[in-house]
Amino acid sequence: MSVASLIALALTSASVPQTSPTDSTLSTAVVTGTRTPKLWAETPVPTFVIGRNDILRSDATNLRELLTHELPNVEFSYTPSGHINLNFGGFSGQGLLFLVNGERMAGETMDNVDYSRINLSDVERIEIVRGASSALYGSAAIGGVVNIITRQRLKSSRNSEASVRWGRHDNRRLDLNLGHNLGRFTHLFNMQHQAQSGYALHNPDDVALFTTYALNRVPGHRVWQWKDRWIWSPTSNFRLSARAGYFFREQEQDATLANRYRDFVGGVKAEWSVSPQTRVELAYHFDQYDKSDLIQASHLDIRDYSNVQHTTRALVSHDFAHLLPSDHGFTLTAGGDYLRDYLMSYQFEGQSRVQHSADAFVQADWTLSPHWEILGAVRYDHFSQGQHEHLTSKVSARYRQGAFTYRAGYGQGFRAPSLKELYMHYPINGLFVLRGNENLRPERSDNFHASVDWHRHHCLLTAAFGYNLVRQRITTAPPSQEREASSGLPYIDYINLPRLHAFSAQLSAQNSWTLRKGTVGLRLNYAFTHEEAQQGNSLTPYLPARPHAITARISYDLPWRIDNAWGIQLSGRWLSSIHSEEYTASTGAMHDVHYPAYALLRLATTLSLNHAWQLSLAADNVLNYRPRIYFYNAPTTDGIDVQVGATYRF
Amino acid sequence: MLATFAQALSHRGLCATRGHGRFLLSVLLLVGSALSFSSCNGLFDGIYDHPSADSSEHNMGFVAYDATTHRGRILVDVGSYQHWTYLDLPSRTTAKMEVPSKLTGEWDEKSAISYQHVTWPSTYRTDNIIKTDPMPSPKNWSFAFHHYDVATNHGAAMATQYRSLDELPREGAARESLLSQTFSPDVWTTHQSYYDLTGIYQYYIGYQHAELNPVLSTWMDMNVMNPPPRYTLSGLVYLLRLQDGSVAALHFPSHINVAGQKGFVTVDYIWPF
Repeated sequence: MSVASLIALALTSASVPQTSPTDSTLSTAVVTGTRTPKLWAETPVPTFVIGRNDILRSDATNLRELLTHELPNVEFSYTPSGHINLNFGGFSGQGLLFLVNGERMAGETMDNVDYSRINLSDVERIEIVRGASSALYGSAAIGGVVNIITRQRLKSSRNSEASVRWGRHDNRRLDLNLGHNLGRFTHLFNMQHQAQSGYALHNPDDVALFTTYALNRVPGHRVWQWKDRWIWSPTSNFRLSARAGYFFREQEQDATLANRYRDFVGGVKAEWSVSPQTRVELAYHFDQYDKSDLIQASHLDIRDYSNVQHTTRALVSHDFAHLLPSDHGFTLTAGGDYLRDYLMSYQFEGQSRVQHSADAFVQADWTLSPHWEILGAVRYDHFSQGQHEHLTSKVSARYRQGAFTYRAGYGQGFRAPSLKELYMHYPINGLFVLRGNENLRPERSDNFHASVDWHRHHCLLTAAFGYNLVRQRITTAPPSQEREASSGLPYIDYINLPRLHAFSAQLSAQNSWTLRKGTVGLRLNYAFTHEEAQQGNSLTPYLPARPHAITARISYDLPWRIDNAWGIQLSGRWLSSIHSEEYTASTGAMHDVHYPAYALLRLATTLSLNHAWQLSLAADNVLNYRPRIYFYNAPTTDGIDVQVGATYRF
Repeated sequence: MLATFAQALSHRGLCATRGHGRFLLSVLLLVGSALSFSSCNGLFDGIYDHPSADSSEHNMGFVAYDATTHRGRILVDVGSYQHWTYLDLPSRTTAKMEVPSKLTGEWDEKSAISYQHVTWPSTYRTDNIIKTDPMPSPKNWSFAFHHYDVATNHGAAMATQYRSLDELPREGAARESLLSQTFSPDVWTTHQSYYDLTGIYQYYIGYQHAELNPVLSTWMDMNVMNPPPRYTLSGLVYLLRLQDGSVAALHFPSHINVAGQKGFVTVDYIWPF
């Protein structure tokens, strides 16, 4: 399949009609593993795809809900300060690179990016590449890459919809998506409002006997965001797009303060198929993420954090297939990025810092025969602060024989110390002073992966294995004996920790078959995760990876007359228990803690009328599970959550 | 980088598509340059508030007083757990003194710092007691802050139901009724006045043994059960009977300065009431 047709498929894969889920997966064009579009079934880099249909079925309000619904080994929780924390197959959020259409996101919330910036109603699909991918994406791609692909093109001249949804704790979501094809122009606009009231999580009086880390409240919040995009396609081989967006989130802290988060994003991107073999991409991306505090008494809104990123990128790929035998292929992709990263933070004693980074990479994708494909990449990164330089590489191979597809590879990853980790000086509530360390070395990882797929008819079975060796992980040390002269507070320093090992395995199965004019779909995912580290050096100290996890979904869709359809779906997740350890600063000792297993089930039904209306009714946590103790990794549910929603397409 | 790339493209002789290439590069260069140079360090600075330096921590103490109404305002920096700030209403002066951390002379049998394992809400297991000198104080003072806790100089206090000084009856039977109510004196505490919260995430807390007023200290509920602390202000007006018998009305509207930093208490007062 030519590059041009793959691009077209990548841009329109949302419009894949009601094919089976398996066919839909196999025919999806993915870009994250290779930076060029490739069919899911053919790419040498194992890629997990959450498609538009999966997103609609999940009825998820945010990225957090979606990932936990679709992936077994993902857990989110709250930090003591109310920020979202992530464990993704043994890696914390800092070990994952989140991208939107291949672009980095500015800002951080202690763990990673602000996940609430992702408006799922605008998402076409999400591609997840596990394992180190720094040879293509640079810093932070240690444990994997999560690339969120937004809507890029419409299947008809007009494609707009408005939707509303209500749930427990006044959880409400309003979406408006407008899309128009105006000749050579396409205009896409989306706006979302989402909010939820804060609620208490009730722990028993003896909670301290079980843990010193318990959640007592989920903070309330509200989000407003919009994004506007114009796409100009004067010819079939040229495309210029421009975008601008605004995001606002307010989260309660206490009666006196509310935390506010804003983001301003914009950019232009040109994609040009110079010839059937050559494709050029140029892009400029601007992203500004601000944090401020709203002081309730004075109504003053005071900014104390701003991260501004300017990124320019050039990417060229050339397909040499016309010079090779018919069943051979060779594609060379080369590119480079420049990033200016400005950070003003309350954690810098009022100062700001700027970092310039630049990189260059080249990737060779060689199809040796209809069975074999080999991909190799190498990348050089330079960071102005600390004069860090990195050379990373990766190699992947794919072999197809009959119904089987085998993949294996090796990749390197690194995470350069952030400006915060290098230069922070931040007294926290008169407790201690967080201090950056200019001598930090970058985190490094080596990843080996292997997988096998088996596909026949509508059935797809996948087994994947991964091993990560992580070195020089950056984290904070316990309070030191050294104290700040002016305040007398002890320092907590950023340090590098010794190596650790993370092993993971995933098994998945999906199938579909016809039953009385309708379609039954089944999807099952199992994940095993094992971490081996010195005591207290876990990748996710307060959110350890559970060894076993399962997600499952069974659905039945019944078309009804011509324009109507009814569907029902039962989905759920089960996570095994885990014994872990908590660190006690007063004694410097670790003590055992037991996090219990739990299961959550969701039952949802939808009714589509005249292709225009869709009504939904869902019950989350139908077993009414309530954790006895809200550990940091316990689900923050306090009972059955009934949700109703309606969507109107016009 | 873009300019270099443009040059490279033009040398490739891509005649059929050169027009698009030039246009594309021009647009990218124009927009990219405009945005990056005009907004290197960000946009929309104007949507945020920028409090003036007049109200910062450099302007602490008795910052206002109206001799006609006897009303005044005090700003107090209470950020340190190792210091007390003493306030004298008659002289409108402040004094900051450090909490003794060791014993240099004869022990008074009560002054100490104790480290305790805390199981909320009310179980304290003492781990270590450090005997110290008594807390020093200036010659004249009316009341004092240690972080958000309040002590009086042999005074007593009561909480009214009023939520601003404007509502407080300044004369007549209503005033007399207020003054006739029970005033609570200070009490000796061993696990209320935080001295060292560096172990808060493990609920291992150092307390200064100190006299505190149990009523005045309720102006602020600093809940550290689920760190970081959550703050709830009572919003009430309190009456403080001083050692000399005079009465002050106190209101604590905020613990945040205009720059948004916690640990800066605003006290609005009437003295003499």
